[in-house]
Amino acid sequence: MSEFVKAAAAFFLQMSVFFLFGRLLMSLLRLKKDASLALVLGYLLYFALFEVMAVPMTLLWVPLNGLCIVWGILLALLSGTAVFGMVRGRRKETGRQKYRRKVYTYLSGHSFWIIPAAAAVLLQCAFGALYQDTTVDAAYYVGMTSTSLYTGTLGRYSPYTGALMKYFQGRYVFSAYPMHNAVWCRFLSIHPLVQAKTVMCVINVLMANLIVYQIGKQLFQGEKRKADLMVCLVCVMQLFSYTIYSPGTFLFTRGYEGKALLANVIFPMVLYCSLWIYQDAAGRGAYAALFLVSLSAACFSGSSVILPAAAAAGVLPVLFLRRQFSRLVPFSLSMVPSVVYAGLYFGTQLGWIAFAAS
Amino acid sequence: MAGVTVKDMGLHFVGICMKYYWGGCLFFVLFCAGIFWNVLSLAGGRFGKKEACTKAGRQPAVVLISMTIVLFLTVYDPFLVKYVIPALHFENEYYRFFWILPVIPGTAYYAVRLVFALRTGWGKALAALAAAAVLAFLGTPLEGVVKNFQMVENIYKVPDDLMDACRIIHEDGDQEHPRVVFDISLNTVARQYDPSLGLVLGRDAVLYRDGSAVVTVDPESLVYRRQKVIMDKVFYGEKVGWKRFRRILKKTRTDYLVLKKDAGLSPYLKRAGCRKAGEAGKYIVYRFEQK
Repeated sequence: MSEFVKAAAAFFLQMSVFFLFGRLLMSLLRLKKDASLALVLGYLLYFALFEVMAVPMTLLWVPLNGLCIVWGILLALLSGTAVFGMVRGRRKETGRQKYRRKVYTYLSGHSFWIIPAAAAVLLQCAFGALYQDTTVDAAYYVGMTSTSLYTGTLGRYSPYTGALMKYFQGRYVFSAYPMHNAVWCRFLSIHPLVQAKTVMCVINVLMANLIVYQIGKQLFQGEKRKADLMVCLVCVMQLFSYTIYSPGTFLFTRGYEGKALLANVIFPMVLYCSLWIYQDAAGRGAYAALFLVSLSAACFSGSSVILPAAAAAGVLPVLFLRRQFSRLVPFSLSMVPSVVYAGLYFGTQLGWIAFAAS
Repeated sequence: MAGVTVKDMGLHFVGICMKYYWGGCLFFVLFCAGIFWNVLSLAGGRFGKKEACTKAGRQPAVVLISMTIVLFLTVYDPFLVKYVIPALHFENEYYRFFWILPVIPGTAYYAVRLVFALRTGWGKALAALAAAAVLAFLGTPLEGVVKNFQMVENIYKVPDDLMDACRIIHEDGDQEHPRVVFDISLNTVARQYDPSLGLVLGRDAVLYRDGSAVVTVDPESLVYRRQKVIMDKVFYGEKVGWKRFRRILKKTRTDYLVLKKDAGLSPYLKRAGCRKAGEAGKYIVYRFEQK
């Protein structure tokens, strides 16, 4: 029973952190308030910052507790700043007025279509929470979390056997996502399997749907009811797209893996950013989001080396269509993390670089 | 994609990968039809037929079209792929480039446009149901999710038998990190649940012995040859002398074996120096006496 309570607490705490990070980022970029976009951007900001913190610590053999302390302080600082900003911004309005206005603003434009959309999202979350997977790749993705937690190290022991490794695995060492699970397991004394395969699985399914909703809003130029229906139809297609390679299979059967996030969060975000740039080529928000996509993709999976190709395919034609050639500079800068990551990834894969683990 | 290489497929590599990627789903065909319709409607608008070009069609959906064209001219170009992908050792993962193509959101987008072309609310609701039904009909249900749902046994999402086996091992012995040979069905989940266990059979060795072409294992290495002897006997029922088996268990510092009851290995393992430590559902936990 206590694991259920911890799982619920982990879900609400992590979602709150993502939301607060998103609100902070949106206020910094002066973007229009949007709760679902705040969650998505906060999620990306969280993993982008985590990647920057966790990978150097891993390579420097810092213990897990060291990362937990530093990350805990940073979480508290950023979340506190976001809460402070939100409280200060709302002081002018009275409670009931504010609440009514917010509910009205949020629901207006959805009409009946929000009901099937919410049902579709809940159904997907239920699948994510209740599915028992049998894939061998979890031996790494969850095994690494369990092993790091047990040994108090950051990825230095083999998740397959439990033995201390001579060298870090080049394919995985730059993706800190399993360490995020280890940190939260240490924070809440939750079992790694519960954190990875239930809590994060549900969060990842939610994020994937929020991004589809945002894509729908961009494609239909703000028409929420059409975006709601799009969420429903995407849900149907994901559930009926069975091959072992499809994004739907990854989302529902391996939703805790970095690869599933690449297929269902990162690449859809590239499409979303391309649409955003198409609508608002001069705005900074889309390029900042693209930078976060680039950095957080590295946190999720080694296959994010293909992200520059995806971003170029999405954004370059848009800049060409919009005649915004000067925007090639921010676009190129936003891809720097991915390009650096690709260099390191292929360097280790081809045997040019190796990082000692013991 | 395991077993699909540029060396064997040449310029057909991209096409074969795409065929395997979509399997029996027809979403890619629907997406192409949507793009084609979108291009025609844009052309209709360009040539004066304003009614053929809606506001939505004229605007952001252009991104779907341009992205598709650029992807087919670059990362799906068979000539480019033939030379670049093998050089980067990325053939097994090449299918992930197909994740970039926005087939699912794109198809859903065109379906929503069709649904909202109707005027009445009831009409839209019925059309939405029809669209969902058509999409489900043209797709393939997810195995283990839509078909034969694999329900969790407990909050840890591991077999109950594994939890029992781990408990028996810890109650039986006093080793802090016992080394265990798990049945093939439990081997990859065991350390996710209980990282205090050391596995005698590594994941890659088990996959390699099972015929996987994705993992890289040196079959001549001493470590693998020892693991193979154990797997030959306990997973594949091949003939291995009990003395040799016992020697390998000693060399690999095995403490426990967790194997299926119906494998019928109890008399053999007893001769090799194992004793039954307990039963965990479909499995028997054996303790190997090192001395």
